[in-house]
Amino acid sequence: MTDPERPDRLTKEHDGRLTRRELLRRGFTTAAAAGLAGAMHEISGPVGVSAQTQVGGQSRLVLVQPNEPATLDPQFEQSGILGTYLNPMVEHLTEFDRRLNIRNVLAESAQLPRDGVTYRFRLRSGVEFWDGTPLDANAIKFTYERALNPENRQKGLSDPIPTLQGVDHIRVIDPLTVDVVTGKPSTLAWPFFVQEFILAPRYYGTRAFDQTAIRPMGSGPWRFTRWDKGDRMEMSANTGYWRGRPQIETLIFRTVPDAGTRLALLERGEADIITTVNPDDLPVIRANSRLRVESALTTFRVHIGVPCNQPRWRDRRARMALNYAVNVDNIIKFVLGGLPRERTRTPVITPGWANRDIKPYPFDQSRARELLTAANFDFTQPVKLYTTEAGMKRLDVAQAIVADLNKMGMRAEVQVLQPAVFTSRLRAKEFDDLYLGTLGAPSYGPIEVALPTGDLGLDSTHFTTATQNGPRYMQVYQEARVTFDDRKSHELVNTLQALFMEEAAWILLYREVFLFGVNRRTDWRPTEYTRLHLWLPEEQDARIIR
Amino acid sequence: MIEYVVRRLLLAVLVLFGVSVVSFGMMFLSGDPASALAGDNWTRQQIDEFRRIMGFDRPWYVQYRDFIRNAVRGDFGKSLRQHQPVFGLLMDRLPATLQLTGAALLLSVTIATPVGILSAVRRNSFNDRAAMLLALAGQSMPVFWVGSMLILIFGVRLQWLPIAGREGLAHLILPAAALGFFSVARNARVVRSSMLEVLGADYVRTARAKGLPGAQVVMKHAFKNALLPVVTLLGLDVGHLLSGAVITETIFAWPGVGRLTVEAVLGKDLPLVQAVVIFLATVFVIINLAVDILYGVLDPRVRYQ
Repeated sequence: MTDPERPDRLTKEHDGRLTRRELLRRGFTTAAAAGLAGAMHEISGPVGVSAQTQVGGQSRLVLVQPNEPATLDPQFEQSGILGTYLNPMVEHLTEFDRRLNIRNVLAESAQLPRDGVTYRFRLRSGVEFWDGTPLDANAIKFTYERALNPENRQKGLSDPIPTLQGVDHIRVIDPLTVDVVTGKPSTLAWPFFVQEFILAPRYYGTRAFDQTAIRPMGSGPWRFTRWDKGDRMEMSANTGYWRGRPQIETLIFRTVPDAGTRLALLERGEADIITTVNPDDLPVIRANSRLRVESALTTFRVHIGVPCNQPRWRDRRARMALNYAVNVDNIIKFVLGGLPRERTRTPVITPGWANRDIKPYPFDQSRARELLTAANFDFTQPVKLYTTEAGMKRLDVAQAIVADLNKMGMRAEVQVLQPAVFTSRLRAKEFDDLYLGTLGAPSYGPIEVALPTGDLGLDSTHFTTATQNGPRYMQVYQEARVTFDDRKSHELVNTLQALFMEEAAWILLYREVFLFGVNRRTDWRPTEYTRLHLWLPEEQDARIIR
Repeated sequence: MIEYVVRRLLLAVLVLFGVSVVSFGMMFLSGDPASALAGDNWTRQQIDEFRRIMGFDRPWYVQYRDFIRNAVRGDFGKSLRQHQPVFGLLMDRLPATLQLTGAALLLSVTIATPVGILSAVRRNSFNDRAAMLLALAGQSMPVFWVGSMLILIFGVRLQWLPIAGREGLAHLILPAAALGFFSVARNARVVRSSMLEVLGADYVRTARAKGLPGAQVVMKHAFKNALLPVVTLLGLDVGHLLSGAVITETIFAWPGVGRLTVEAVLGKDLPLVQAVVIFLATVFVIINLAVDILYGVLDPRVRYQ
């Protein structure tokens, strides 16, 4: 039979059989329908699944962050993100509480040194790593010896804490008592116990580094389940945890680099906590009744570093002029939306340790101009402000600073560097002009005065070698490092702050703020500490409100 | 034909040699590679030891020889940051990128080809104009914007599709659409213009005059000849999609090679960067070699030029 319109085309009823074309058409339609059905089955699964869906009668919490650590071996990487990843699983002898006071965790009691060098810890009994190994004095000995072993360090192990503490050796007194002995007295030793993760000797002693890099072993409230690099890490509740089983059964850390996508996941209910929220997105979160914003004023001090060894900044008056020239209050209010609350006044920010006699510089460009003229500052030469784009509105802040400097008649401009290049120059102390830096340290006065020395972080100001107060600072600093007397220690820390501020090697700006978007069903608040904690000593763990 | 293939193979080897030189030379761009790659708190002694372990203290030509010898065996050393064999890290992420790129390519071919053909056959019709307007828009929109819009519309407002991660087929739809969007638009325009050129050719007019059905003229006589520029573009598309995957993988949190590359660059993980550069260049060269050979098969004139 032929089609009357198209005599060359056979109709499908031709001879009562299907034509080849019809067969193909039907086949294609069936295949497409099957494919679509399969796809819809796949699609219907994950979409709309709440992050807090009950799993086996228990809850789960999804934390979404922009990045992940390169390794899960705590002795190979020291970063806030690794701390966040490991804190649920691997514990320390001591830990900061919400007010940044040091509390015992794996240590039942800690005895500060009477001889200046011996820290004695009595460990909790009955604590076990997941592999069944009991936590005992040998675990502490193993952890420190692994970190200090020169052969391990040649293979890339880079844990700086035992070196910063000046640990000389570990002495096992009995199965639950251990002495950590430093080579010489140092006030830096005590607060750093909050950062040294205690490792399971049997596991870490028998596994190669490429195995410990992808699978940790600890004694914490959650146990490692799996890590799909670049995507997610999953943990499950440690049923035998010494503080009691956590309420959250499954903990999922997802890696989502884009801030918009993180926000979308929070809006869809697929995330319970998102970190590094863009300040411009805050209204979106606030407008959603299911969500809330949390913020934490961190211990990171954002500052302008002034390289004191450079001819134009060698004169103290030129550096002081920068303090008067930049309207920090306006930057906080208008660029950062008031989130950092106030200008940082002193290099030490720990309550009780900041020098109260140090007054902030007022914004006074006339005074700044006078000082610059007195210092014979060459206004014709361009001034560079190096920065990265990392951090909250960092580029906008840099541009606001440059605008203030240009109002003074300077020819200032922002130079954006890749983070790796910025860090590399900082380490080599190679900055030839101003840079917008951040430095953080555990909040403890005697530690914070170590920041300008370069002992704890990277600093390119050459303060200790290129300024008048530098040598005196180092002298007092060395004394402060071995002074355990509280009153005397406070005096020395106060003196150090005054010496530092006189030289204006840093123009202190504000404390970095971390912003979080949180699902209202999640009972969790951030701390000032740069790691994200889902549990804290003497406090209820993060939980889901049913 | 054999001579043509051999000539292309030699050129491919030459390109790969160039890539290996550039990739190896990256190490020395910052002067002393040991200092550049050292950790933040390393002492001078540690840096010297690291230089010795990594072999940076040997003459550069010895280093290059060993680099090539190991690279040919797939041994790019260990990642400086992740402490895992680089080749394994690359292979872990490769399926995700191939899946994404393949899906985007499939999307591009299955949408662009019929749209281009229909536009050419019904030239200047409403459908043709609408399709070309969409194609123009598609070529004008950057992938990060398209991705964000797809997330907003299909992920947040309509909640039809998942927006991040790699769990199943559904997770592939939005990233593949975002990545393939540009290619769909460009290829539709190329297919259309190529078809228009061929449809006006004498042999097509002859075919019609012989009374052949319209569809047969279009598909058998015109489309086959219009394929040549499309095949060339598909080869280039693979490179474009692989490089575009860096942005798409970031937006959709897709754990592929693109994100691995970004992490390696930001973390100064040079062995990983080198491996990724060489690997992607090799993939690109092989695909283009295949396209060149296919081109020779489709159009015998090419072989004799």
